[in-house]
Amino acid sequence: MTFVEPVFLWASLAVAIPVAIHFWHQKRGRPLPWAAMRWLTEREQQQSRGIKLDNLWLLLVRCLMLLLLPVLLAQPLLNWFDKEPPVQRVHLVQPNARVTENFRFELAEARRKNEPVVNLANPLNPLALQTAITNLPASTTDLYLYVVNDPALANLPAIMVPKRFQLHTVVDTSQTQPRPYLPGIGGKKISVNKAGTLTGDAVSGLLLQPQPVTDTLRVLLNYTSKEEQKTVRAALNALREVYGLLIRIDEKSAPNLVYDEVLTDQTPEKSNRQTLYVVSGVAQSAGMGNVVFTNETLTPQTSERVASGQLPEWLGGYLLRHYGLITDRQPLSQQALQSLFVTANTPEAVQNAGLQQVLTLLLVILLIAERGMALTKNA
Amino acid sequence: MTTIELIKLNNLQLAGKLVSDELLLGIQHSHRTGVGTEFEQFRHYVPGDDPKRIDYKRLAQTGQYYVRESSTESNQHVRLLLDLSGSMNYQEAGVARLQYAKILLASLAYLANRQGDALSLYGLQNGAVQPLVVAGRQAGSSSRFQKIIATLETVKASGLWTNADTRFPEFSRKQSELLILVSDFLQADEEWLNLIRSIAGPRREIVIFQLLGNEEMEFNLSGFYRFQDLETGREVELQTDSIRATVRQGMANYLTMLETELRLPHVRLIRARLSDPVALVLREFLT
Repeated sequence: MTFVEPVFLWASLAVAIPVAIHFWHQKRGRPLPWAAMRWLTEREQQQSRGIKLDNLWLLLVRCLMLLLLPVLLAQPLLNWFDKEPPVQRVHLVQPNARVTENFRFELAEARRKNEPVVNLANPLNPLALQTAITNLPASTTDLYLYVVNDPALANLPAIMVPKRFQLHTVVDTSQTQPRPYLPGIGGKKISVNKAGTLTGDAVSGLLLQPQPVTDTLRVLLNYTSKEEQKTVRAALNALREVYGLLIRIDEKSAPNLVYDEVLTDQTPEKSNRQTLYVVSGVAQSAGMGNVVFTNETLTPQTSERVASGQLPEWLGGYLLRHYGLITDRQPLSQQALQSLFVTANTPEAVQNAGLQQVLTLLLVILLIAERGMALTKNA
Repeated sequence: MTTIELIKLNNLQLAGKLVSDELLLGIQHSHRTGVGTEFEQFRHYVPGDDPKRIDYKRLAQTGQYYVRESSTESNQHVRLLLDLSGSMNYQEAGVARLQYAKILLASLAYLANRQGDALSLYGLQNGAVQPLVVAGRQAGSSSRFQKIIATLETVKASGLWTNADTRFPEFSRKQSELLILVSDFLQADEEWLNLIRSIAGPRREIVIFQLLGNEEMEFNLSGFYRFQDLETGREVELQTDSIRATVRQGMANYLTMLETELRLPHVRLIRARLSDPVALVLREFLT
């Protein structure tokens, strides 16, 4: 038996009150002026003060009432009748090599015990994740969730999980994963090393992907202002010279060619997913992932960034982020992960209401009985 | 009429008259005249009257034959003795023992006054018999009756009942006496009984009205009680169920003892309950 408001159970200590009053009253007999004192012997006096209950039933009813009231207020949840159903252990697994590798033994054990192991299509989609969890019977499921500790999880809304829930996460330390790299002049592979600097030196045993993200960086400059076009081209040239990036700059759009980066001052009509667009001079705050907006016109006179020489760095940063060379992703803390998942423990209201009604009825019956007894005894 | 109704009247004279009327139902209120010292009236001589009774002074004054009449005068002296110890304040079902006793005495006084007996009232308090209203030569019997009623209205009971050193006023008169004692008579011991034995005689009838409550006689109380002594104020807390048998036994023994001890010539013990109608008790006494 569980209670919704167990605090009220403390009130049942009030049961001591009628008992105390009872004994207190018993201490003093009913006064009776009496003339025939001659035959009243006092030797029975001590016995009369003992633990003797004369209105035992009335006392019992009153104590019961005082016990019942806190129980009623505490809202007990009755689950004696329906047997505790067997708990089914369900494993929800993100289909990720890291996860399956890391929890290899757990999953093997689960398969051996014939426990269902369900593949979770995309844990970063809150709807899919919530649907997958909700489809399981909440009260009888012991849910084990295996996911990669992805910072993107923090963006999810709160996920309702069953009462029995365990979260297993594995931190994706990309050390063992091959890293993407950009092509450089003379076959150099330009990537971000462990220290976080962009370098073309293939040192320190950094595992790189077999292919560069693109063969050649094809960039289209498309500015109406000659000044701006010149500035941006200078910035790209600086990138090429400092890091040795293999960049090919087009001033005119070639048909049937997918550019890797488009630098323009007009909002593109249709954007290509693989292309990074840097649109300047357009006041629009939110970009769409591969489209970057800035409201500055990229000339030294109008942009402080250009004047202070930070334009190449700024452009290069977007480029690296676009190709996933740098990730500003820190694994989520355990606390943050726990706060993501909310245990759904709202009691079933229907079952609750029935018991409440029975208890209330019992209380009313006791109240009537108590009044009836009290009035007839004192009459 | 019930005792409670009589108490509610709050008028002892009326209560006494009502009780007596109930008792003497059908007896006519005709006036009785006789030979005595106390003058009542003159009336015309009718043939058949004893010529000795003609008042010749009156004849000389008026020239008419008058016969001098006196009220009948009994030579019975009724002494009413009311116990005024604290135990008389005992109350049961709205009837206090003292109130009951007062109505009883008022009724007796009314009856005695009707038949011209001399009346006097005494109170018994702290072992001493105190005269409250004493029969005297000077005052008329009617005014003495009024005085007794008025005194009865005001007396209050308090103090202890004592067995030792109780003295009755001695009367060496030729009149026969009727001593009526109204009490609960709960604490009389051998000394008191000896006193009664010694003063009872052919010229002194003694009638004892013992007024008791139902609980006193039967002790049907149940529960835990704090008994407060009406005379001393002492308190005793008792579980009545555990002592019921002893109390009943003691009371029964005492009452039988009283009955056997007072089964004497010229002594009558009349036991009445506070729930009995007063007229019924009086009838038991008079018949």
